[in-house]
Amino acid sequence: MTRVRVAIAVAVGVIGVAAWLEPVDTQTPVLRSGTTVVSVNVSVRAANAPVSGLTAVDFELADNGVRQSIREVGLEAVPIDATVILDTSGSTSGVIDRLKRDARDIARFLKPADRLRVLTMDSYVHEIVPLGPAAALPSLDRVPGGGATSAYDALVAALIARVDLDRRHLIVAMTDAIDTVSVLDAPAVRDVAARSDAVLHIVRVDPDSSGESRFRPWVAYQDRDFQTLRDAAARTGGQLHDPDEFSRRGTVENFKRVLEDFRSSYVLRYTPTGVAPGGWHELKVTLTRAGHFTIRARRGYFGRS
Amino acid sequence: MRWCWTGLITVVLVLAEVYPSAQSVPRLGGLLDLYERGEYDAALAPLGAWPNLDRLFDRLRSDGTRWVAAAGPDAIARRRLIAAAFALEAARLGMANWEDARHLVEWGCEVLRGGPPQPAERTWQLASVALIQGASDVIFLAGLPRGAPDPHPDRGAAIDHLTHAELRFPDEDRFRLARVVVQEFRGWGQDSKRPRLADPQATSVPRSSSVAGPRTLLLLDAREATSDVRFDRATAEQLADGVTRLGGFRDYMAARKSLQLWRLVDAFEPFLKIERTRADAHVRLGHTYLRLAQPDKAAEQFQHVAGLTSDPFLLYLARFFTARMQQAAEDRAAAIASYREALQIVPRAESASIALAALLFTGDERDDAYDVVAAALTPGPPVQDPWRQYPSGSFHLWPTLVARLREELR
Repeated sequence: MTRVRVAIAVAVGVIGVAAWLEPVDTQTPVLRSGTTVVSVNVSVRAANAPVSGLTAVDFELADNGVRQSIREVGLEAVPIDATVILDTSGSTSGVIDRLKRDARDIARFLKPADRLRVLTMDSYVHEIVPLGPAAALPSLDRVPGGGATSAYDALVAALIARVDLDRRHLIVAMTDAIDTVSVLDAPAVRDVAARSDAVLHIVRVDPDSSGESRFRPWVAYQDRDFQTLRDAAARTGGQLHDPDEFSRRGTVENFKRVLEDFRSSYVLRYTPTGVAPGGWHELKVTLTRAGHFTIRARRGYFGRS
Repeated sequence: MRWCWTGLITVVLVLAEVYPSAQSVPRLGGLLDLYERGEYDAALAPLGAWPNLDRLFDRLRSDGTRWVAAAGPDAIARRRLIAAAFALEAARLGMANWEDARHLVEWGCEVLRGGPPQPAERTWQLASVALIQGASDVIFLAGLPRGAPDPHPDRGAAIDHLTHAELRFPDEDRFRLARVVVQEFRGWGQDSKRPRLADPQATSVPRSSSVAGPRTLLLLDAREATSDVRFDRATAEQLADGVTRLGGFRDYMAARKSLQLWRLVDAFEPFLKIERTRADAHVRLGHTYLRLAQPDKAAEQFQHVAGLTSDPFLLYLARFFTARMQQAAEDRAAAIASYREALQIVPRAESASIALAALLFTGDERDDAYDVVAAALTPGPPVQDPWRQYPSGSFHLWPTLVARLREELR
């Protein structure tokens, strides 16, 4: 059998608690009766379609390079808490109406059990729609625009959010990702992302594409650390989508695909053996089947000593 | 038929005059009369949240100028102040449309320059500087840097406002401080958000040139170098003297950046001797030392602040910058304590909240981190964040200055 080793690109997260255990922190592996159980969400696609019917023997999982014995593979329909971040700063004023439309369309794809909250970023981060049923999304037409961009702070604010144990957290940030006033920098976003339970997708928009950008050239400083943001998203199992991808397929289509991944993902559960419990645990998930697959799983987790 | 059309047009014109649309400007003379009587909010309310500044500017130039002169020579000085204050407050209301709003400020300044300075004009000038700082319009404040093109060539006379203010009040130190804040803002960079500790290799002797390769790579390197490497003053002066003599291109760029910051230190220091600028100067000097990777010197500056002022803006920044410094020194516990102290001064301030939450979260104190972020995002009255407003100089004083101006106009 040919082993397929596909680069891990987008993850659907680690849930650090097995469903049958009592409620605990959702990322950190659970200690119970001297046993730690780690759960890893994995989506598998072939030719752009989710692959179903996989069992434990189809997966191989390495924790810090040590092959682990997968004790269970589940295919779980877990409700989603989606956070949509809209960049309403002055630099995106030419495309903000499109972003608002996209946010509304995204809300329509969510199921009744899912929930949605909306953050905006300008000079500050605002929670304009608290977490609630997606169907109750109010009109975003009157959301004001302008100001500087606190992109990194907004991403961190979204990543540090308590998520119920029976749900998964998906963040879709629509921004030009050009930061001007955040207190944090891109590496700090990456550090937080690596430990977050959420899956982060950054849809990078090109503010100049409309020709109406009100970008303020007198703003002295702009931070465009796209590569670090790309890494940050990848560490959560998400992705940074570049503007060409945005214009080719559109945010909503991208989001539909992300949701498909979410809804069709497997949950691998294992008890780490042969590795120290504390520190960063790099995960690598592969398939033992032959074929061309795209496997999406979190790159790792931080364990407690 | 012709009668019908004439009648219809007349009716429309009359209605348009009596019931102006939401986007048009109500009769200006009436609004200025209200403002003169001290009914400030009533005078500004008809402008709405989005005043049509273009039309308002036209009206000010015509009707406003007439209104100033209408009450006779004895009242003209006061009326200049009234009209300028009205224009300034209207500019604040329409700040989101700054390209138009800036013309109202310049119009007010021009009106005031038509006569000798009045005591209340000092407050007007301070408020106008605060507003322009809030709009980050450094060209309007201090003019164009040498050789730089103007990104807004239609700005007309709205340029170098500080020169006007300084000529009107040559003794006003706060205008000179505003000029240094422009210098600080123009050198804003990654170092402002990522404090570092001194790199011993970078602050002693010149390093040997380590950079070779295509010119594009050198330029890319330069951005990183100007953010990350800091030299002491003597080394910076030596290296900035030339690219090839002592160090490589990276060192040269970093030395230039370091020298720029050392000059900023020199520019802020005189304000420590002036009572009304002392606390502000300590904070800004401390922050500059932080950017220069000089934590001891920075800490010394921040320690003075609490004894000099009760301004929460400055007190917060002193604690916040101290926390950043402690975080750079990897003194996690001290940094967390300082962030929490900052949040006691300005509860829910986003900068300390986000920085603290990130620190807690990456240290596995997740529950605390969740609570800090949730509190910062709690719906409610917006909390003006001193760090976010730091590059905007005195903009945080706008409400105080306008209240004082209104009081002085009564």
